[in-house]
Amino acid sequence: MATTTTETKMLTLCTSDKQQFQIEETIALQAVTIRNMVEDECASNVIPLPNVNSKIMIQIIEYLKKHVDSSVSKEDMEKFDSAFVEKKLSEIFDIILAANYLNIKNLLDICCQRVADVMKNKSPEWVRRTFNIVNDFTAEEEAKIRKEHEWAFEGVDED
Amino acid sequence: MKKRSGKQEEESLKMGDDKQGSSINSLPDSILLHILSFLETKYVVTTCVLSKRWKNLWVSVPNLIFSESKVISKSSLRNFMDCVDRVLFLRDSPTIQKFSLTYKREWQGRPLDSDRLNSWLCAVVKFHVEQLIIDISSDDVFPNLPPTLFTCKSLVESHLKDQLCIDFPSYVNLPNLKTLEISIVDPGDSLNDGFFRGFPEDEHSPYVVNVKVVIDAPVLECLVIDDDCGAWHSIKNRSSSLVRAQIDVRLDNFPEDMQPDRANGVLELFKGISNVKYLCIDGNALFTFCNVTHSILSFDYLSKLPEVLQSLPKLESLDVCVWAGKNLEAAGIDLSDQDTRLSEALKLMESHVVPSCLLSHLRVIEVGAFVGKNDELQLVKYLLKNSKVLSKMTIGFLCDVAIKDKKILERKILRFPRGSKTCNFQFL
Repeated sequence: MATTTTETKMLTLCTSDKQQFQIEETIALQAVTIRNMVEDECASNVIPLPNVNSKIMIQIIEYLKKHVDSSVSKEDMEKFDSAFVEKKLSEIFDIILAANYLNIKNLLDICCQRVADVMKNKSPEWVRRTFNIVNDFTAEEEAKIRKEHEWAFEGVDED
Repeated sequence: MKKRSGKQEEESLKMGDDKQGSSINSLPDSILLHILSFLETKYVVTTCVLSKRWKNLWVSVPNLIFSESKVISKSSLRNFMDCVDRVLFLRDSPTIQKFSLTYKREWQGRPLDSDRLNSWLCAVVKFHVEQLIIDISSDDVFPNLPPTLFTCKSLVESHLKDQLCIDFPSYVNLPNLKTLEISIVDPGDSLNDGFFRGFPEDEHSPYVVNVKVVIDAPVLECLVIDDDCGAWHSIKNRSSSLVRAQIDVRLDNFPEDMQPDRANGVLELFKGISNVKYLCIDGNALFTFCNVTHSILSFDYLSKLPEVLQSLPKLESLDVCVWAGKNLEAAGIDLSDQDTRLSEALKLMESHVVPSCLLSHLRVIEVGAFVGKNDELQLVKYLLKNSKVLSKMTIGFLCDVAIKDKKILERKILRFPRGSKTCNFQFL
């Protein structure tokens, strides 16, 4: 429950595509990068976030609004988090980049965890296909690396 | 994994239909390493064949996680240990954030080589490990952990689970440790199986390394000790940083003549954590205070409870697991003739000065395994009467208490005089 004891101070965030978002300061300050900017007094009312576009900003604000609410129980927060990361991988990567830039540790963690869960126990071929990683080894190079690391390859699912 | 194939296709489609979004290739190495740090290390190594960019990433992954639960054959155990060796040998980063080693073997499985475990721990200390989790099958004894582990400056969090007889040095100094979890399991029948050959043949102490351990942890915040062997730990926490402690110590598998001695050790432990705010003591630990003979166990239990509370003046939450009939029987107690002793005990309690935490700090009391025996009711009555700031009293009934009896007991408890005007009740 947000308290109304103090007048709510608002911040304006300006994304890379010049969209402006007005949000409560307490919500925005969860992002360490924004907190530092406010503390170091980039005093103008509008905070420029050139590395985040509006589409991603909307999702990040949704996340921050939930996480500023101290009345949410731990289980509900975990439920929210696991539902939040049910997105397309490309979107997850965008959020990862934004969370890294804005320095929102838990958001970065849950998104990286999601990517890790997708990779888990999958064969290199599957990972390359799913994540569009181009294999730039020659067949000989790859065979050599596999040989050098064969101690780690047993037990990996072939799928 | 096979059943996931439908979902796998779905995953790949998710990438395919949205080419304009970011891909994993647009992430910096630091983030790729962060992603890899959530995965088991053995798997992380296999990412070296993905592409040239990935070839040498794994050697700097911040977290090392090794886990094996079903090794039976000699060769697969060797592979597991070789894997840990290689990863540590090939590592190319000055630090390790987390080192987690889980090895749960089945009973016919082989134990880890203790020399190699030792060398891994030496290595991770050199890599300034911050978080250490060692969770090894309970039958495995590791008598010679490296001394540097017990003075490791980088260590912030340490979980040593299911360990049998960790041979701590007598002085442990971990200046940055915030979380410590030690669990030492009951050796049970394995005592007879010759598992303890490696230990000095001390006739009094067949399975506990008989050394008094002082753990100097000035910034410790969370302490979990689950000790079936009555090992002798005492905590030095000068800055009173300790917030949470969970203590479960059992002495009933000791020979009777040794119990008073061990109980003193546990008392030392409680003295060391007297600044704790949240404490969970298992019933077994309370039993520890009844350190005399079985015949006066119940008497001692009740009369000593105020002393326990007294030694924890800032206590805010106490999870009392009352020794109910089941446990008492297990300890060889006959409940049928307790009542006369209990009235004596109660008189004694009431003549004691009321513990200061009851008067000023204790807000939540949970009583577990409640069956409504007279001694338990008197205990509840005592706590309700003397707890001046109590806000919640939870009574958890043992599951075999009939609903009708529960109602009667609830009504009885609700009529007890209360020292606190704002106490809520919960009956489970």
